[in-house]
Amino acid sequence: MSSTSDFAVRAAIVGLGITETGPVYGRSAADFAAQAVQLAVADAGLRMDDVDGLLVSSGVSGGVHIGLAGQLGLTDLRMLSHISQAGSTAGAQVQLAALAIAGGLATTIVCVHADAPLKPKVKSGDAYRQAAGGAAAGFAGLAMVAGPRTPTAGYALAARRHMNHYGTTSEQLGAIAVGQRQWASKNPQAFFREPITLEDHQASRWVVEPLHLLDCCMVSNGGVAVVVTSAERAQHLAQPPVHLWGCAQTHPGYRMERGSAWGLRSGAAISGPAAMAMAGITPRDVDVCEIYDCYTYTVLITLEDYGFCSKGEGGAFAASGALAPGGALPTNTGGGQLSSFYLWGMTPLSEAVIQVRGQGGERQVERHDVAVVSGNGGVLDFHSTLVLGAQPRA
Amino acid sequence: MSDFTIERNEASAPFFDAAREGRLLIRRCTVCGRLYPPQQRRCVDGEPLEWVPATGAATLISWAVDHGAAVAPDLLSAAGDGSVIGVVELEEGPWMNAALPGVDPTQLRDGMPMRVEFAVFGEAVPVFLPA
Repeated sequence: MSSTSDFAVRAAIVGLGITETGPVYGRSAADFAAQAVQLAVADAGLRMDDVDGLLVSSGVSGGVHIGLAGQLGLTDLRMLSHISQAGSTAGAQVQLAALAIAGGLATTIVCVHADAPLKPKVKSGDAYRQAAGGAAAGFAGLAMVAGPRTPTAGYALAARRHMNHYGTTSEQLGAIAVGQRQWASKNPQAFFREPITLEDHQASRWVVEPLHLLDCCMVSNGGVAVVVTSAERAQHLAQPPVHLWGCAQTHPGYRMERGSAWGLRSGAAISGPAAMAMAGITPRDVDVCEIYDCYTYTVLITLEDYGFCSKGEGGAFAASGALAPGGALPTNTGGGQLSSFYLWGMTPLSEAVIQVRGQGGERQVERHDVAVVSGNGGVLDFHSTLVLGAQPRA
Repeated sequence: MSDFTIERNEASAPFFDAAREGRLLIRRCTVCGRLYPPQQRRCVDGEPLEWVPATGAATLISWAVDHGAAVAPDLLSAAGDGSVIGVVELEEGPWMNAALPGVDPTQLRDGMPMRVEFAVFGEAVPVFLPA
């Protein structure tokens, strides 16, 4: 075989490290990052000396940077970089690691993301909110008045546009939240495990209408790391290998003017099909989806863009129960960012690794040969996709 | 929160001068004529932009009600429990984010005609209301 996508099939994820997550105080993001790396390397059955590449990612609290290599005592690294693509970072880290391994630049690359924005007196909603009041210069002042001032407000505008155009309803978004909570109730690591109903969703307060509180992810402290190495070497390590079958990124760069698809179609519409084409699959072949879920609406538009349902049918698809336990397309099987923990793209990626390995315990899906993972950042501005398989790609 | 003020800078001065007189300015490429919202710095081709008047007529693309702390009391909705923000499509084509102060969000409709008004926070800024 000699196609340009050979690089992807030469890589596998062989280690996963997840620290304690949630309102865990008194630890820095760098501390979470270091522990996640150590856990992932040990999980793979490797030693820290085996690591020759490190790709770090920092959340809103900052503090995770290339100095992490020194903190971990890693020597003579052949690749070291800080990847910064917001919610699409984790997928991009794995993609770059796979390229580097296929190109012979390094053999064992750890990708890590950690954040610690929660403090005892800082609520989730404040971690991402621009302060109001005071003075602002020039067009920054205009933007303060015009909004959106938070990611939630940006997604609310996007979601409303989808509702306007396709008739998507708040209750359909609620079905996503309810289904994911059902999954979370089976996940001992999830932060929110109490079942919720559609009525609970509808009764939860507006954050930015049309998004209720239960449409929004939480904010978490913690760290997650994965180890990427060659598919050959993966066969001889401690865990069942999770093979990379395909990957892609798309950063759409919407032109905000007449005719824009903003809010209706995201970068996922290019990234998803590209990654699945590289993997040699179609949506019908996918057993489990781990979709970036900063908001319920993000899940809906991503599933549409990936082709799991027709454009505009995402609401009905979610309301059918397809995504929940027992549904046709198990999605966000750990509870996702809505119910389990929020560490950007590492939330969906880590759950995909667990599912493809078959280590999901009570929440393990029956068929787990092929998983699709999405990453999303900005307000639908940055997108990455990974296709993962339990076996080497045919 | 009522002490929020905008301080002009060099790039925004012509825009705020016009806004004070009740005129909305947008940007136009001096070479290709493409139109942009006010904050655009250069044409996507790199060519310089000039200020041109917009009619102030627009249609509503989307809206949301932010229930977080308002930037200023004047921006609250009719019900007073949040600030309505929107995306409008100017008659000329560019989209703008804009405050929709004092409106009842249940009365807003996709594609409804909107018109510019100006609210003063140190400088005058465009806001949009149902036409």
